[in-house]
Amino acid sequence: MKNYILLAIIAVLLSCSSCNDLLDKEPLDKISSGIFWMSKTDFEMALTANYGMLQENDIFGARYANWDVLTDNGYGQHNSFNSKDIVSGNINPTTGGYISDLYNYSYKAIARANIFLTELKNYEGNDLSENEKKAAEAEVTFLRAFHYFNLYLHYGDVPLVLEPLSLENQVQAKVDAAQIYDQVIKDLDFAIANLNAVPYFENSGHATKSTARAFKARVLINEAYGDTGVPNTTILAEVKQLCLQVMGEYSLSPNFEDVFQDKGQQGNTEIIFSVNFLAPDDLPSRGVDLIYGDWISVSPLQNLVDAFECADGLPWGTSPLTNTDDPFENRDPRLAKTIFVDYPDWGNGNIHSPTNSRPTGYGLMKFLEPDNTPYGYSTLSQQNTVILRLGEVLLMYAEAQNEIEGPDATVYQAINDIRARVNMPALTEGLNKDEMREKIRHERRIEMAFEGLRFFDLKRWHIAGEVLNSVTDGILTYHWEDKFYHWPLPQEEIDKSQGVLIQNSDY
Amino acid sequence: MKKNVTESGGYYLNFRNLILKMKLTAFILLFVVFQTMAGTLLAQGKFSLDFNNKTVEQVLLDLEIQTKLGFIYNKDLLDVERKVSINVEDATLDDILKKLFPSNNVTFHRVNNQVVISPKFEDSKQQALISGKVTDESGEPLPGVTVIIKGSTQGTVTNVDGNYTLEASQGDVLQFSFVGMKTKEVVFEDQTVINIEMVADAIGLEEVIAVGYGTQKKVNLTGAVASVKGEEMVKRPVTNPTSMLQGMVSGVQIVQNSGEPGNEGVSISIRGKGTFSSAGSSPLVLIDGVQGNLADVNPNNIENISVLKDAASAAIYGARAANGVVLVTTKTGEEGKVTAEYNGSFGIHTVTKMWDVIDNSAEYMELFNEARINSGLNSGLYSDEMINAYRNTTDRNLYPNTNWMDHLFSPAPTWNHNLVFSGGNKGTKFNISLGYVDQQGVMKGFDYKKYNIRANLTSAVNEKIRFGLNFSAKQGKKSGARQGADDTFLAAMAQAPTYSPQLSDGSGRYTFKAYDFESNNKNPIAIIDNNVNKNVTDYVISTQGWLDVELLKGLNWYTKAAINLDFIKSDDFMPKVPLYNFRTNEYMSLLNVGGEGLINQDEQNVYRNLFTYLKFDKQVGDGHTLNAQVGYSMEDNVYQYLKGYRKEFPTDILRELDAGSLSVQQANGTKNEWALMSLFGRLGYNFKDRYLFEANMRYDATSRLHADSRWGAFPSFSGAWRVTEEQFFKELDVAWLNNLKLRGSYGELGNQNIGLYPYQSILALTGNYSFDDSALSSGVAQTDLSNQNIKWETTSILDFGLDLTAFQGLSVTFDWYKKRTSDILRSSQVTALVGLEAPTVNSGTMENTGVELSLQYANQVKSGFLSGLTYNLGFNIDHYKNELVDFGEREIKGYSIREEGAEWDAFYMLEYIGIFRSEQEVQNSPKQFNDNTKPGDLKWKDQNNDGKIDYDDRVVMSGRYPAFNYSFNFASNWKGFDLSAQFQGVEDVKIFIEKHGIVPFWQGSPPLTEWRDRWTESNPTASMPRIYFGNKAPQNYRRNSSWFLQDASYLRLKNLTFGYTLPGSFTKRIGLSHLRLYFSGDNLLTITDYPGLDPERAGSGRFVNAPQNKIYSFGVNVKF
Repeated sequence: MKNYILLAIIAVLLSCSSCNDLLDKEPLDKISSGIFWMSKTDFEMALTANYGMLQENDIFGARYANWDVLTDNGYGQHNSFNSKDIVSGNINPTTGGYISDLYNYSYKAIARANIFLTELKNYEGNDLSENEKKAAEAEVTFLRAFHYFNLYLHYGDVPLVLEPLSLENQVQAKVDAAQIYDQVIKDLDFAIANLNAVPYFENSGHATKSTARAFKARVLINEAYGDTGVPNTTILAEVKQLCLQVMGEYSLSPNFEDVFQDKGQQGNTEIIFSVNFLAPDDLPSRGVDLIYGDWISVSPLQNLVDAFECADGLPWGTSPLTNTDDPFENRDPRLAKTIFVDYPDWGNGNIHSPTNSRPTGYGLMKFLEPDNTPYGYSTLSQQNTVILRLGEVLLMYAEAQNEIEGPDATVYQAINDIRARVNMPALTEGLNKDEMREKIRHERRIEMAFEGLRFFDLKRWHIAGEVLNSVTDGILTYHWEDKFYHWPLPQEEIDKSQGVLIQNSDY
Repeated sequence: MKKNVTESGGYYLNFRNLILKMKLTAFILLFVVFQTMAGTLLAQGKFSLDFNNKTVEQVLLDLEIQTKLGFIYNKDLLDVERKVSINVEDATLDDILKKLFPSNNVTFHRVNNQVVISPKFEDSKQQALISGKVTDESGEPLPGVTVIIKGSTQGTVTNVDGNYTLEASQGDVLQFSFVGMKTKEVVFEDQTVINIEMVADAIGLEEVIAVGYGTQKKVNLTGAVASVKGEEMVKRPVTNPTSMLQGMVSGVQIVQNSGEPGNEGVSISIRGKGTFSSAGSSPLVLIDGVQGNLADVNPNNIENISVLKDAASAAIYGARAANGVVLVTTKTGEEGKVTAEYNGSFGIHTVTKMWDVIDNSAEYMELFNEARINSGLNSGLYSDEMINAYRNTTDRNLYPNTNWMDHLFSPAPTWNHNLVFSGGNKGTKFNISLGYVDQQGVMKGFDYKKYNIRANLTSAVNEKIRFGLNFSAKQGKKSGARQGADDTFLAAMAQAPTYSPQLSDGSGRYTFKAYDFESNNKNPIAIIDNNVNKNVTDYVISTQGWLDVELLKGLNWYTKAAINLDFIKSDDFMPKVPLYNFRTNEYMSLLNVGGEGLINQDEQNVYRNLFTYLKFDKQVGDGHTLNAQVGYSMEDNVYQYLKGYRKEFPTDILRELDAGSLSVQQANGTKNEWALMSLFGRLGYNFKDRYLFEANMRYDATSRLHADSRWGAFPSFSGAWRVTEEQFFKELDVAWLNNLKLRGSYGELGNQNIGLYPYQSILALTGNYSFDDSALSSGVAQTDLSNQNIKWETTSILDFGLDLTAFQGLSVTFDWYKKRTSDILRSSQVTALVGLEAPTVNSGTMENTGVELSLQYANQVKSGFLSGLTYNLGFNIDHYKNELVDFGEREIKGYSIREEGAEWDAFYMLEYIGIFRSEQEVQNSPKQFNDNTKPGDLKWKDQNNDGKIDYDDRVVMSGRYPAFNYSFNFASNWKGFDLSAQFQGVEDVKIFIEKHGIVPFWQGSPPLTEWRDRWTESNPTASMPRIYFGNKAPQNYRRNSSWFLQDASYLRLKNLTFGYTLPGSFTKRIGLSHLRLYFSGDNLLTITDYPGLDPERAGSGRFVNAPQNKIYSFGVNVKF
């Protein structure tokens, strides 16, 4: 019997001897932090992920056009990012959608940038030169500025985080909006000083000096209007200078649609910054062709369609070319390139029949790819989302110059260049400053429709209430209050901050 | 160890251990069979004894240890309290026994390892030959029944026909005993024929049930353990054994989500939702002691299932047992004749309920227009011309009223075949079975085939070493539309009646809308007809080998090793199917199949487990019994998958990867692992079956936690008091009360399903980006905040219970418990500023307090017309209350709130209080958001009385968890007929429903007919509100409100079975030993207020949910 007992004990001991091996399990398909940040390659991959962040959540990626459903331009039947609540003015700390997503997304991107910048600062390896370090730092500070500007724009006072946070210091109070603004400018100035000096289209998709300049122009032109909508010409002068620098490097794409369609985007001399996609492995979970072409997630409103001039440059309805039986005939060519009626038709029978209903009868043509029909789940939509392009810079220049100097030849030149590209007649000579301001604003709405700028424009010009509260064809009942110039901070964040994070005053 | 095993008392058996799991009756059978061997050499070897003035009993006790034999004697007939002195050296056992009983008035018989000592009979008594037949309640002969003359070793066993013959003297008491039957006694006077009908032992006092690493007599349990017999479960004609447990055990909630074959989505939870960590609430399921999936088991193989509900019974499984343990024991063979058994059934499945939708096209079109106009949409309307065309047509082929559900659903057959061979001799036993199920879905295209093989073998090297093998293999083949049954169902729901699935020209081409402005989902008939299928085949192979060695008398060493292999292979083909406009026959679009090309995936899971333990069982002194057990277990698991994709295929017929083009292809794969190592032990003490105590301990270490904190200890303690065993109680002479036991237990358990690498700081390969639009750069980013300092979450359960049996037929079990999970491993609440996924931390407490009651009553009608009718009634009910005790900041997600003091994920929404009947009512009511509220809209309650309705008016609503679950059942047998019924219900539970069906015209879906009574200016008192159009409905309809919160309480007749067993005289003539024909119906009747299809579903979500099946099944059971 004793043998048996012995045997049992031996068996138990034997099986125990492999204890530690048995229980030490490491992830087999992921990198653990202990072995990263060790080489130039690691930093390259981490830099890539900072750009890759731009694709996340579709806020600035495949659904960038959805920002326009917050405006008089469109209606979002699928309530993406809770657009319906926002449009109807049901905005409060628990609304969700853009109001929480933009906040969460921005800080996620900022954290990624902060981790990168911290690790880069601490890196002692000699396979990165000081110049390479500076260049990488500049790219990431540009991206951080991009995200902070969005926070600044939509929330105002928010916490300023410049270092990686942990559980211990995760609760931060908000700082004055001016401090956020200063940080944006500081980061952009560092980027302008240290980024590559070649144009974006020659810089393999990395941000360049001109990217940072164009973006700074956008930040400043917003700042110029302050809280009143009356422009500060000192700031506009700076905008003008930045625009001029950028204008010297870029030229308008000969074809308007090339800016948005895949083939035309390659090396396009107009694009200053874009969020890039590549088939088949780096695509949004739902591509733009599916979202806009099949789902009709964004429906252009009638008032926007009506805003497109006739081919003679006169407003629709006033122009003798007005044809109520075929409203798209003899119109600004950008109308048909921006909006389709019923279904996208690329000619020669190349059409797509959307599966979802068309609440306004219109759909968004601008970002669709003719070669990708029929649009469905397997469509490989690799069109890049254009964030900055020369068209906008020309319009910013015109806007700034018109406010500073009035409608001089350079103002006409900037606008007419844009119009000439689509064979629209030049603006009438002899407009006064106010008339020109209206022309510029109109041109911006048409040229930049669904490029995510309309909401930005309505806010900085301080005409959001005036415009949005008079929308009558919006399917929803529009409701704007001036407190919406700043959104509330997400309630969850207030809750988690144990009283440190204070809600914006109007909510 | 001594046990009092008969009701008459005084009959003591000394046998050495219980690990043989052999029921006493089986043992008696053995010793009678072998009585012819009596008188032969009792034990080899020589023994020495030296006792002075000790009782005979004490001497025998010592002899047991030396000889490794057990002694059986009757204290009433044998004076073992007699003091003796004995001193021998190297004597044989025969010699010793003769010295011990010098008067020569006893005889010794050796039967296997037992020695029976009985007084010699007086020869003067008249011996007579008795014969008779033993039958069961239905009159069927019972072979193998032990018949003995009480107080003697004389006896026999009934033969195949249930007949016996025996010599007895006048006044002898004949005792008939058989496993699972009540022992019966008859006094022999002068009968020559004694026929006996035996009755099932309904209260199961002698029942032995499986507990962790062993078995225990039910009466001696100190924890909350319930058990279910396999034969009870297989009454239901469903194919998933998990569903069969439904309503069988109080405190165990089983919810079947869907009737989709092979994908029923059955969840088990024991005593509610225990934690909010990712570990979930599923119990540990052990099949013959090794982790497995109940759904993989052939239900016909199940001997019984034990459910360990409290910490005392589950703690021996420590870190895996927080949600309770389900122990499945499969059948083994019995020694004796080899039997073959066939079970077969054929069933017809239909849905329990189908929508009643407006499928008249003209009516649909008018409502469509009304809804769109109400929603502010003035375009995309049907013209009067279109509507009239449908209304006035004489050609329904061209202008159909299509009910898409009729195209998708049809009654479907299911076949079930099972063959079992079972038997054994000379210590070797086997049970080999084959099973086959072919279930076609009531939803077209969804089919399931299952093949099961099992072989359980047991054998012995000698009397001390036994070993065995349990092998099982399963192949399950599931085919169905790739996006699943719910998706296919909602696609059918989201079609207008204005067109048929195929063009009216007979070309067989599939349709896409009749009019361009219609909304719809994918054509489900095109999906099914074109085999847009995901076919999944899984193979589960489970092999266990075990060895049981008796080291010493009372000390056993048991070891089991197991490997479970699980292979899942799926192919998922997305063909290109063109769709055409129903009106114009023009090409419109490709069928949305969710992608294009072929995905092939191979998954593999290898689980290994080795456990070994020593078990010791010993009686010390008078009435004190000790048992102890200590063991070690290790297990590890490796999961891996490989997936390939190609996009372009030359034809839809070639559906293998190599047939696809290389232009667009992807490969994915990974592997992950976990391991667990454990020590466990048990200590039990029993004083005369009166006071019972048990302590369990498990010490677990997991790979999922950091080396510094990976060990966790999970102890439990329990005790029971069997009041009815007390002397004072026996003197009270309360005959009606057969057994009363009070129990109490406390213990702690862990939960190891907390993710595989929760503590490690990991950088994700994420954020890939294509800078230059031609090459993809890899991105790496830290995405998670890590926390090394995590430890086990702990679930403690306090349980008080009562077991009572009375009137020889009524048994009652009641339990109260408080189950508290603390240090919950959950994602910490991190502010968005951190920008990283929250780390896992130990924080939060959840508590479930509940009661469970189970009543069983069994009886037999003794006289009258129904004489011989046996029946039993059962009732189970349980209630629990979930409370989030400690959570942190509240979290609101959609219509749920997580807030301290409330139940987890409590419903949180606006309260619907009616429909605005008039403009005046709108004006006089608080303003609702910034809505353009109109008469006919939903009216919400101003909870905070601030004169306006906004999100601050949301309130917590009850109903996330049911008030109680209950079931009752009835079973009866009479003259070969059997009838049983099982009802199961859930009370006061609600579900929040969304989209298709509840929001009319969601993706074009036709409204339910109840919308005929909707608010319009001419019908202001309608039951339904103003109609809006799908997702264009304004927020004043769509906001989360209790309008969408529906009562899902139900009571349903889960099963009704009626069977007839042909008389043995007939079956014998055709060469069978048993033949039963039966009908079994499932879900035949449902009582509910739920407006949707089936109130029994996994929970809130889409209104469209593949309903369960109503089954009419006919079967046959044959034994050879």
